Amino acid sequence: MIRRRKTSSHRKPLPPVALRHGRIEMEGTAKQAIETGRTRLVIAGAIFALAFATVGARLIDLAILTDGNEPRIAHSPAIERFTTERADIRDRNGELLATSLITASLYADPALVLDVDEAARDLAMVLPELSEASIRAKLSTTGRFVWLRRNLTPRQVYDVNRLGLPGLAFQREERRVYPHGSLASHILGFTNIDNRGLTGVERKFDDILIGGSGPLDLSLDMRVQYILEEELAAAQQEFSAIGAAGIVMDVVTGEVLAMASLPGFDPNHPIDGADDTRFNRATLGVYEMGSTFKIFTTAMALDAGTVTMRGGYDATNPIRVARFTISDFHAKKRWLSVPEIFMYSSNIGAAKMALDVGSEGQQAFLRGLGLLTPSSIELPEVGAPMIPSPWREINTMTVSFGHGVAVSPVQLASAVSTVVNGGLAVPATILKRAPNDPIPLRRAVSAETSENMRRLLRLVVTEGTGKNAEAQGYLVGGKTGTAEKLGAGGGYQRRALLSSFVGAFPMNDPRYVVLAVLDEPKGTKATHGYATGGWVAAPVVGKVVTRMASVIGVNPLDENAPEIREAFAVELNPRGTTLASY
Amino acid sequence: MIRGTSIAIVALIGLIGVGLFHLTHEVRELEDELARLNRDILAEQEATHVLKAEWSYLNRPDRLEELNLRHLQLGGMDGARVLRISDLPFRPLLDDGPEAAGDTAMPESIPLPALPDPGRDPKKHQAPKEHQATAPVPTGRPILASVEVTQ
Repeated sequence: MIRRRKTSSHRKPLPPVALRHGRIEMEGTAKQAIETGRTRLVIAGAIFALAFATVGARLIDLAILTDGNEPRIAHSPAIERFTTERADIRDRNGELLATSLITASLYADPALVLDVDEAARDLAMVLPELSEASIRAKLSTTGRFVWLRRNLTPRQVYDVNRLGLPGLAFQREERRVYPHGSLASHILGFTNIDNRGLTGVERKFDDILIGGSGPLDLSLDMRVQYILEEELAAAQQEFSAIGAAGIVMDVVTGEVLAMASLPGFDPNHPIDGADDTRFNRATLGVYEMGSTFKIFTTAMALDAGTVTMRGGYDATNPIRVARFTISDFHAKKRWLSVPEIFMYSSNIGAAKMALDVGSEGQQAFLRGLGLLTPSSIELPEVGAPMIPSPWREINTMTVSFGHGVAVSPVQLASAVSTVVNGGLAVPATILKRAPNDPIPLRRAVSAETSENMRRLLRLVVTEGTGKNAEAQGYLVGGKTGTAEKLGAGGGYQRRALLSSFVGAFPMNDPRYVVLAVLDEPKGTKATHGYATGGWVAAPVVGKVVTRMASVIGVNPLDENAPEIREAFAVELNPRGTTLASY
Repeated sequence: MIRGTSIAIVALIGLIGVGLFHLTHEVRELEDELARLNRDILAEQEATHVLKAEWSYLNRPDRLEELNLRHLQLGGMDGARVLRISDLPFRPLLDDGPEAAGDTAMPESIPLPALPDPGRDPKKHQAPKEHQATAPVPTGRPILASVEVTQ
């Protein structure tokens, strides 16, 4: 280029300053344009350099330097936890009562089965409870899905897999299992094949159990439940009773520690037993309870102040009202003090006590104890009490000794809890109460009356009709009850009895109420032919108390200690010879 | 000069590539292991669940009673078998030794009154944990002691 310009410069005269000192010098607009271009290049280069420096710095920052709040360990987004569709049910000590186990159910796609006869023969061999003919019938259908058998054991699954038959498959399913079998079966209830609760707690808390909120803790103590069921079953067998019911209740919290209804059933196979085995006698059955109602009549009279512990009534002659005659079973035919009326279970005395309080007062008092409304216990099977309507004077008298009014055993246990716990009504519950849970309490009986009732209940066991309920060291108090059941024809049956005993212990500071009811017991030689509450039900309560006290941690006391005798001293007959007893 | 730099850069890129590949591979392996461990945990939880059900089944009170009858023949507890510290007779003074003094007395050294039931072996009912019965028993706990004493 320079050379070219040189050659051209020979031909044309160059500008005077074009070539000086051997350098090319530009002038004017050309020089300006080159300068502008150079400046722009420098600026663009600088911008690019800056951009690359920034990216580089960021790279170093991200790759090499670490941020302070960056996690050091990576967590996988979701860790699965093993859950079942239906939550467990546990007792108050965490013992498993109901749970769901994963099982496999065998189904077949008949279209894929190659040889129906071979498949049927092989399957019948490993699943003996299925007949070859029925399998063949199922596999010969035209559908694409047929259940062969639900809920196989792991061994059966293994055996079926080992056959290597095409067209068979397993569906993962859950099955409700009750490890304790028939124990507490009426409380737990059971579910259908699709795991929906049908009865008992399973039904009542169906939504909660499915809702996935963790296990449900009941107030039951399975050890006490076992003791109660065992003793009741023994008595039921000994006295050939058609049924039995029992309850152990905490008098302060209203928690049911044990509740039994016999005959029972196995919730693992609920439909195997007869229909009446699934009937909960303790909550759904309502019965005329008989003399145990005298607890409430006496408490009512003492509370109302119509009679004192030193007062009494003349029980010489039976009361005749209309076509009824009210007489005494253990007739003394004389004036009886209140403690004697209670101890000898005098119907005449109880009726007179109730008449003095009046029909209105009686209804109000029984309502306060929750005997006229269904129990609040959280079970679907709760029986409504049968109450006389209208409530006439004759009803006031019969109700005073537990006839003409039918309540469920759980209502009776709740009401007795109220009478002995210091007079506070507490709703019965099947759920475990948390230690700091506020308990809804309502005063139904005065503390003084409750104190007096403790003495009277103790008196029945030491001196009266309930001697068989004594449990050495545990100061049992209680009341017997024997009611004649209503026959089909309407009249009372002398031979069909409902014998019961409701007790509480330890009587100096009651903690638990124990109730035992036997339906139609028959007397034996050992009971001299008697089938009354004192002979058949009281021993059950005594044995249950003896066995459960050490399990739940009630310390025995010395009944003969002076301070204990003092606490239970009752003046039996203030009019006649003074007979101090304990 | 330029050639040397280029070679170095190409080598570096290659090295980084190999490193990155290894890292990715390692992470994938760890993720696989994590998934496997989570699966195992799930399987173990299911197994624990089944074992809990079985434990509860094996702890049925009627089964425990039957096992007791077969192996231990322990009798029932009643109020007479539970004692307090104050009910215990004073420990007779022994010859010597530091154990002779004070409340550390072991129940074995106390001469117990004659047993009312001759059919039972007294040793069986002198549970070694007798001292627990004398302390206030917490609610809901079984009393472990059983000592037969005539009152």
